[in-house]
Amino acid sequence: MHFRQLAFAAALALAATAAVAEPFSVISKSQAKQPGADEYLFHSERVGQDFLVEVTVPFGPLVKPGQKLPVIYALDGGYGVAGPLSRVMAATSSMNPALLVAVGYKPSDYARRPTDLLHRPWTRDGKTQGGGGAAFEAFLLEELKPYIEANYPADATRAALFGHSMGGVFAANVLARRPDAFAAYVIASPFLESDPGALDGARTAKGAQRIYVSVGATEPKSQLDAAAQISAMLARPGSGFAVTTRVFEGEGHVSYYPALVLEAFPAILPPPPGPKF
Amino acid sequence: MRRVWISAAALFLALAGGVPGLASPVKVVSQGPAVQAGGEAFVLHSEHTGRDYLVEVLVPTLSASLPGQRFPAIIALDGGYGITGPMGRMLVDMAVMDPAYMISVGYPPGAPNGRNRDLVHAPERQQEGLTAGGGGAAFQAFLTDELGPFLEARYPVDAKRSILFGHSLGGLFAANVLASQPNAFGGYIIASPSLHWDDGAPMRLAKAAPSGDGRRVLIAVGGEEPQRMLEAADKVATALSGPGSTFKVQKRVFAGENHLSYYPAMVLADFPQVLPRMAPVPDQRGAIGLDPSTYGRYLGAYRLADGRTVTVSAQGTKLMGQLSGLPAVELTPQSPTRFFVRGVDAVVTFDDVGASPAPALVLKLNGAEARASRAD
Repeated sequence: MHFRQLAFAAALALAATAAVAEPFSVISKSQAKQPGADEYLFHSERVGQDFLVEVTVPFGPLVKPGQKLPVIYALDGGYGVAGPLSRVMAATSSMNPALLVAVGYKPSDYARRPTDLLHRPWTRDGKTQGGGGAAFEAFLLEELKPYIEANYPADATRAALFGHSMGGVFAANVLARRPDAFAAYVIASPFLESDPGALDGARTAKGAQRIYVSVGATEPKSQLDAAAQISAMLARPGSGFAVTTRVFEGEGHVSYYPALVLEAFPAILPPPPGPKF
Repeated sequence: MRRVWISAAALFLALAGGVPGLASPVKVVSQGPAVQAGGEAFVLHSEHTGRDYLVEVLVPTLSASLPGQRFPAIIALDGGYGITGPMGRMLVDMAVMDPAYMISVGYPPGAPNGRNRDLVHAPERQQEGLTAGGGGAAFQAFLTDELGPFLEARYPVDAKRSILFGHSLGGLFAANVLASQPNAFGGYIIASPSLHWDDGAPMRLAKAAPSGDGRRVLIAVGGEEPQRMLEAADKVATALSGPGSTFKVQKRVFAGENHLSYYPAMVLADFPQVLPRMAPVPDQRGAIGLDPSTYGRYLGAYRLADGRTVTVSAQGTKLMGQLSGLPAVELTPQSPTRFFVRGVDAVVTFDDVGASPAPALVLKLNGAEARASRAD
């Protein structure tokens, strides 16, 4: 390297580190936005608390005027990936365009999660949590879903519920209590230890919904058993459900989540009958 | 007639008033465009290209850096199609890959999309109804001479170890950066490279092959793409794989996928390959039971060289640790003085001197190590 180049490089490095001096212009700085998505803070009367909800909409040209779209309600904010992924998957014809409604919390409210996701109280290490599942269910079905249907081109008959871990338990309980609430359910790595009663519900539940149960192959045995048991009960002869069970080889409790989105979303929401795009 | 009218109105009011079981209007506390948590967006003006760029930075949520420690970034062109940032960050947070900053480079909304010029080094020409070319060298200079130092000044990022990731025209661009300046980046992801805009690229790649110095190059293509694209991926792989090449090349064909559809799966597959975990996840078996009454000497705040603190507290029978700015995590004992954080490459070892309170701890994080002395 020439001495002159070295000197220039050194000068540039110095300039860059000196009190955040910019070697060129920063025109603006802001928070990074999520393309095609609106963010809401809703106050729920049923729960008496706020929820942070992000609604991702497919690219404009994919939605014809007057067309209604399926809706996927993803718990735990879709871990921040379900929304953007669904948008790209629809744009690349990997899935039917759908609205993705990711339900989560302001960071300061995150501790409420077990209360909202568990229908029954759960005691661990002397601490009891849960019991707010019915109220959270009411928020989703009686407050949020109608809002989405009133403000977006949403097809009320094609809504799906997607929960992982404790969210998977919640989804299993909704399925058992009122299967017709959604047209499809994704129950991912259900953390049944927090509510073994959800299995009883699965034992007797009936309906025509599509159900997708998943687990990572390296999860603890209790998790593998939970997924297998819930699948077996939902897929029993006479239940009426269309059940897919998927074990992700080499994956743990959370690591397969993006891959799950890539597989499950196209599986649970097949395009409506009629000519394709 | 009037009685019927009033009855209908009364019925409407009764329904709207929220009969139990029917929809109740939910209150919108606030509403706006969705923002990415822990993300910053900059509009930067480049002197080299004369254009503005939208650069989005996603900071790893759960990863911590020790004083002086720097992380690589993954620089995704075409704004990462809006997904490489969130997906990459999730992979980092799940410890599937080493901590890295996710940088997406695109164009500000409303500005003309300059990719046809910026991503092609070859002179401008027309082909199949498109005009492209002429701006690649200047855009390369923007990335290496302007963006790199900008990132290093603001974040604990090591630009030279960063990965350049391009798809389509972006794939061609990444290939040309590799060919002209292999040490500009620490690794390259070249996806569906549009070689038809620059068929001299494979020859230049072959010339640069001996200068790889162990850098990883991941090449990807969709199995259903047109023949010329499958051949382009092959040519790039071949050019970099000859005898004398010092690049580590991997080519992946995504069966059944088209030019765009494999993109998310490629991010999942390639990011952990291009930045694999540097240090193996430490042995986390052998958790022992410790009498919580022995934790007393550990409680308190310890200060790192850069002023951040590690706060150790007790929560019931658990020992908890919290690094400034991150959530508190449980410290699981492996010995009376050594604790690990489940699922994370983090170990806290308290000074094994009888002194109470413990005067210091050593924090090992993602392969690096730092000492923190008691602050209170």
